[in-house]
Amino acid sequence: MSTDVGVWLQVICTIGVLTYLYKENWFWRIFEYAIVAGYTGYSLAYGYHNYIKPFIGEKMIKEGQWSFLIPLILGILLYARFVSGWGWLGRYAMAYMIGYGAGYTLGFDIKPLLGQIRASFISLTSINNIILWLFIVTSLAYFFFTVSKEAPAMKGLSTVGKWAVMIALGASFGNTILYRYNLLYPRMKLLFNTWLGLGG
Amino acid sequence: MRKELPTIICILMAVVVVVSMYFYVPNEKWKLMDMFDNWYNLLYYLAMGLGLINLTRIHVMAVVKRRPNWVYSIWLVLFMWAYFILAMIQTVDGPQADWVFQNFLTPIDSTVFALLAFYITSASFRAFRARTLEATLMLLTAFIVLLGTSPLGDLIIPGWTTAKDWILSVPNTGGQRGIQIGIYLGGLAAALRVMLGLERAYLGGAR
Repeated sequence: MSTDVGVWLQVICTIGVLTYLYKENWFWRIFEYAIVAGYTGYSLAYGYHNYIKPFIGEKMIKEGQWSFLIPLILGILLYARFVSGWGWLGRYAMAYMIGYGAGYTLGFDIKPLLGQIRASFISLTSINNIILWLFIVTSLAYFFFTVSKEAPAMKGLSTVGKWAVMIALGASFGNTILYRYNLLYPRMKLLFNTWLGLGG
Repeated sequence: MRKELPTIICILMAVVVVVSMYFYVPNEKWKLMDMFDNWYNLLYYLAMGLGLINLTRIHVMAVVKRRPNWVYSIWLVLFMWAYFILAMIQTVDGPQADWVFQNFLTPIDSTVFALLAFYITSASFRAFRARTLEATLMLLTAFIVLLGTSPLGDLIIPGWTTAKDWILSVPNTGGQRGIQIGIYLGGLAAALRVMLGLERAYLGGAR
């Protein structure tokens, strides 16, 4: 059995979270609250050391890049919500972030979209290509809401499209199960191998 | 000032980002996108401070008003601030901060996600009981992919992996592509609505 304090702490955390399988209990709640608290503290400290301090302390103050004053002011305005009646000032920062996100989406999403469309233009010379093309067209028809699904042609297309989507979701579902079990394996290895010293 | 100016900032920002992406000038003096990226990152982490303050407020109030599970709120506030101060002093890679991260936060995080392995399995059994063609198709595909990825599939029925590869590369690609194109079109439509000033939910209430 391991004598490492770190391993023991890992084991307590692992068992604590696994107790949720029985039912929601006080031991599980300790770790549930800890994960929220820990990641909040971690994210902010990470952001401070990697973005806030270098941008404000180094680039703005030391190197004189005063353009950083704009996001700094916008960021401070976010905290106006704590002053009664001045919360609306935070909208400026939100407007910047939403606008940036929209612009980013419009700028970057076109390329992968066109890539997907271009890859769909395939020669229908094999059974595989025919099935692939059929599933692309029908799955798109399934998400096409402009024409009523009651129209005879649309009904048939969207039904096949639903099957295509279900197969795609099934494949994703299978991969997700595998991924989750891949995460479970190191936890079991920790409990039985590292902690209890069982196995090789 | 309260609604018009934020809307103008939002539209202007979207237009400027789009223009700077489509008309990128590879010039050292004109790194417009880099500057906007840095501004966004700075703003993002400044906004994250709100999360820390809000969590503290909510949980301190829970303790003061003795709401259900208030004892855990004490633990949350104490641990959050203790870890935040430690990581601020040392950086997140500091010896003690990293030790807490590796031996406390990472195992909780991994186990929570691993826990979903059990629930996702039970969910698949419940879906199977629905007995519809769609649910059967989905579970059958999941089963083939699941067993085909492990060495067990080929041991049970030779050629299982080939079937899995075919499903992943042909019908799955067809369905996924339809979903992906739908997602991109939806994202673009939503972004366009924001850029045109039609979508203004981010402004919040009427005040």
